[in-house]
Amino acid sequence: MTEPSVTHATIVLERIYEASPARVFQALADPQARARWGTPSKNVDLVYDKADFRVGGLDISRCGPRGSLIYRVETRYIDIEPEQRIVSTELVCEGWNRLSVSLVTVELQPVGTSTRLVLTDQIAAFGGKDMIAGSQAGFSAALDNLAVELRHQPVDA
Amino acid sequence: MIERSVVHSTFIIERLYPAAPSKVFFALSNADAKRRWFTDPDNPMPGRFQMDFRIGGKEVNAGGPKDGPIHVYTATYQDIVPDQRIVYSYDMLFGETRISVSLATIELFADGKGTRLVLTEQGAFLDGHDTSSSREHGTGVLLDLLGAFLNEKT
Repeated sequence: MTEPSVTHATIVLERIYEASPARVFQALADPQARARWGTPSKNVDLVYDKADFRVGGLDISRCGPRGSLIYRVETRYIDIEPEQRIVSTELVCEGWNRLSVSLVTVELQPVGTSTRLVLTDQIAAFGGKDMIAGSQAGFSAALDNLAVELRHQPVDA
Repeated sequence: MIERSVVHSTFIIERLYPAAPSKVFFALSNADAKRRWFTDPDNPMPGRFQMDFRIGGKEVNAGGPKDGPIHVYTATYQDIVPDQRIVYSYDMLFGETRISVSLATIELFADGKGTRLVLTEQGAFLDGHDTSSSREHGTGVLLDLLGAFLNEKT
């Protein structure tokens, strides 16, 4: 049986956060912070089995509905420019099935005392267009949660 | 702080080769075979070449002009379906500077006795060091080198 062909897309999401680029970058870099804001909703859990935020580092995480963390994500950090840019790849699997690979670029630009974040997800989906819609919805919800995280977490002195 | 910029783009290149998908896949996945055709036409002297063809494995290809910065291509294999598909991410370093990060999908389709290869590259070009059109041209040249290699063998 031939594998279905791959579907490619580029998703661009933009947000303005009332926080400095340093503060936003910290929330992106810290796996404990990411475990809080990185899921699309309160009913979805995100657990890091391995976290290594550096160029060449690998994170392994699992997410899914509470009690059923069926998705496994391998994040490889390729480029990190502190407070400015993170470029990574994300491989999403469900069990033995590889569902998609994304090249994710996050850019941070100061706008006055705020920060513009632009997330570009260049995705190759093996499972069809559903993965693309799912990736877009997931990232969009997580970026909304990041705003809440930035408002509520105390800034380190 | 340095002003940063990223240009994102996608290009698709197709080639028709007179060899079966399994032979094309072999040329793409076997280190000895790949070493023979995956060269930089401007700098044919091979530098470092290592290849670990498995999911999560890395490939490194380094070289460059005698008196210039070393160019290093480092790839990670993200998905492999034998004889059908290879998905890999790679970055390019010129000396100490990372100039791009890309996600490449190669799909192989049987076409009569031959193979249609479709390469889709989604790239992030960093800080203006290189352009998508230049990369597309260079990638096309590499696929022509693969074609020449396969023509020799057929």
